[in-house]
Amino acid sequence: MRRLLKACLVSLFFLLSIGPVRAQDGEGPYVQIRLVPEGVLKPGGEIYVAIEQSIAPGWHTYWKNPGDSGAAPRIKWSLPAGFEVGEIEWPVPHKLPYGPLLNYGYEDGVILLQKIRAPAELAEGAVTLKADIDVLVCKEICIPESGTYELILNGLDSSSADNTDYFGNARGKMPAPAPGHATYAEQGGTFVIEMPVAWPQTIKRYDYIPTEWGMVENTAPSEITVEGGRLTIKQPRGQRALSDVNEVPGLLLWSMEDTGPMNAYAFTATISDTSVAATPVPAPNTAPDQSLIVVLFFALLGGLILNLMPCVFPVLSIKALSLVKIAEKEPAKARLHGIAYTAGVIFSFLISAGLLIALKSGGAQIGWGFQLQNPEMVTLLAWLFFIIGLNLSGIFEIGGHFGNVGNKLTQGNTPGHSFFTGVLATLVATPCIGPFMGVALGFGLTQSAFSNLLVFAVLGFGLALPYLALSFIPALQKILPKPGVWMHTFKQLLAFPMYASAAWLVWVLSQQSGQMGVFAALMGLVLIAFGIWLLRHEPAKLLWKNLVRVFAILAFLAALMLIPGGTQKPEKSTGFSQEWSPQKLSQLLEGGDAIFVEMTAAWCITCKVNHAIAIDTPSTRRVFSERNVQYLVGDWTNQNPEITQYLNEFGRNGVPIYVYYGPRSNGVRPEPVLLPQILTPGIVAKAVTGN
Amino acid sequence: MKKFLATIMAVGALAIAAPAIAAPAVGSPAPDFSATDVNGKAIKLADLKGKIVVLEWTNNECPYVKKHYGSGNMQKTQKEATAKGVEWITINSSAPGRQGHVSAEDAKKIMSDAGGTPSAEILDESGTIGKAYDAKTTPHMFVIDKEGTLAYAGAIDDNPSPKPEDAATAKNYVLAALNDIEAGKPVETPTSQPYGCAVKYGD
Repeated sequence: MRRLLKACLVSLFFLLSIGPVRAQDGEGPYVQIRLVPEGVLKPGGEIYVAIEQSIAPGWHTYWKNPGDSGAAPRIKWSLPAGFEVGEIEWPVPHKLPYGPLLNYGYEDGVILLQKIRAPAELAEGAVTLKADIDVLVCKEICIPESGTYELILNGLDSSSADNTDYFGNARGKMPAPAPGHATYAEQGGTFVIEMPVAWPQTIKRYDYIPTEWGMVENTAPSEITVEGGRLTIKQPRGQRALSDVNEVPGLLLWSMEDTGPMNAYAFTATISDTSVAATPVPAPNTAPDQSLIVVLFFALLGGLILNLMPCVFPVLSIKALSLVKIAEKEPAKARLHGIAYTAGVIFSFLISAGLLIALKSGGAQIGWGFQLQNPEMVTLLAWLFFIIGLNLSGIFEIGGHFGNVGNKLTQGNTPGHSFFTGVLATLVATPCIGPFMGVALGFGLTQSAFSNLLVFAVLGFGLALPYLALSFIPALQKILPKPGVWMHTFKQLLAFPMYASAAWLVWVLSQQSGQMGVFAALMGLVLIAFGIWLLRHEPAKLLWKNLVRVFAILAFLAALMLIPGGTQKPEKSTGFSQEWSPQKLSQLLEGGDAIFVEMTAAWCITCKVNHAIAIDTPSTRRVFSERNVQYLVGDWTNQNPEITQYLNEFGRNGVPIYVYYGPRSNGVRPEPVLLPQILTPGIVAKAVTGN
Repeated sequence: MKKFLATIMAVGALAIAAPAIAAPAVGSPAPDFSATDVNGKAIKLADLKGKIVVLEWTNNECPYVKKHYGSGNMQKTQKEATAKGVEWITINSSAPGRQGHVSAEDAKKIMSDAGGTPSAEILDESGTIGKAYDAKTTPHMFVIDKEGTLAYAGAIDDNPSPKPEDAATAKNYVLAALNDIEAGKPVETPTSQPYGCAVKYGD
């Protein structure tokens, strides 16, 4: 009766389409179909057409991916010359379980949308389009129904019919485009989709519907988690080979309510090796890019703080003092220096970022600090600090015979020199990556290439900002002390942080390359010093002069050949802690004890300081033992993809990271707590004891 | 061991209201099964090693099965395959009381009326074989090579239309797979999305 009434209403209100329906088995039809135009179709214009299915109670029709069985409806238009028709747009389907199978489809009714484009020449009056439609409708059994349906466009009542609400409703059931770029991968029989997200914690339910068949076992439950700005969908793999597909579309369903209909995002995942993404990530229902702005703020702050790091400060303070000298005479030139320096810093940061993105998209499990996981790089940096130190000490100040970077650094006064000072500042800042940047870099690396580069550029801008400000604002220049003889002494004093940095890097190397590595690096220092000494004592005669230069160059080459390679296992942690591994962690998570995870690296000063003042202390040791806290330490001194992945799970791309997993209470383990990157014994105790 | 596990899982599936079963992957050993065919003859897949085997899931009341028998497409495919020495086993996993459930006598009559010539017909009332293969639709086709490895799983052809006349113009994946195997080539399309009615397993 209701169907009859509906049918009457349909004909009364629209009189636009008449569909003869023929069911195969006498009974039925189980699906009533009508075609509804959105409005008047103008010459060269386009409108939407609704293909409305009214489905008999208890029966269902299928989505474009019907799931384990069934078949999607097929619509074949017979169009007059010049007309075009777009792809079918499908509303979000429902999951329809059937015995051990799962289908995707619609019950009661559904409106598919399709765009129709008119030719440029379109005569006035009504146009009739025909569509052959096959629909498979199933309950316990399946019945294919087919019919030819008419769509009358620009008929007498087309202009008077107001379909706004009808089409608005239909569009409201379509999935929205997903805000982030998704990637997919297969991990040990599981299909894994990852998508960067930045949405509030209030999302209560998620679900996943595959648009492409055979990627997952439809009936297996999907496991959807959000951690550290990353949404991960895991579902057992289906039988279709990954090589069979290129892009994998799907729907992500989410809801902020415990019950009721869910919202849907449509995404197209690309294989995860190509991590370059297309769009930045707004949060649903919140101001877009808010999180990006916050992250950029921290990047700027982090960059500013870098200026105070022991390895950067000496270089910059000398540079700043020389700037004052220039600024007194030529303010315009000072500004030029400021700009050139800023450009140098940002340029180097972008190069690093580009390298990092390229390596990551090549599949390398790396994070920031990756440069220092390479003993060759550590050795070269140690030597660089040593050479800068020698320069500051006044051991050599001769103007550039060869690539005398240190000399140019402090003495040079063309904008080109300032540019390279910027490059150098970035290089020497590398080991001192501050805690503020952990979040920024972690965020950056999980985002699209664009926001990635943006974060790095802002980081660089932060590093360059003090000098840039100094070069532009004369008032700031006045704050600096007047140049004088004291500068010479000050400069020599500043050599010592450089030597200290070099010594520390050699110690890092000892963890990476062992005793021989340290010996090689130290011999390199000797050879470099020898080469510099040779150059300082060049004889007057050309022949001897050249001979001495050859010896100097040989000394430098010999040093380069000494660069230690290879890696050795980092030292095992001592009694108090246990070595972290994913297996160890999951094994402990199975149990009931609280767990404290520390990720560290020999070259990470912050990590070492935190460890010394907040963790390896009598009070923390006591708290850990009283509360049965299992203390796991992971060492990222050398590359370790498992640790990199763990860091990523928390949205980080560098160490340190401290994670506390509370003990199980009533069998339930609370969410892990991420501790700050600067620790005090109080912070650790509070995390563990709760007060 | 894998076969053993698959069997355990299939039995387990029956016992505890059918959880999701991992489908046998193309390229891995086809799950073994033993059954008695509609003529009372014992069939064991492992005994058919050395022969190419085709498994066809059927339900004579399903419109998609009707499409392929009504158009003569399934019979033609069976004839071409068996002429090459392929062992063709038609399996009906409809549970008692569900659509397509038939007696052995009826099954034989339906097949001979349709002019079908499979090598054997099996009534898999319990759904054990169906679930071991994760057979989802009727028709759902599987090709097993001479070594007992699953070489194809999916639809009979590439046109999921319900119309019998579309069968003639569609690409027949089963015949293509048989040709590839005969030529010693890897199967070009080893999987496709099966289409049709759901297999009417019992609850």
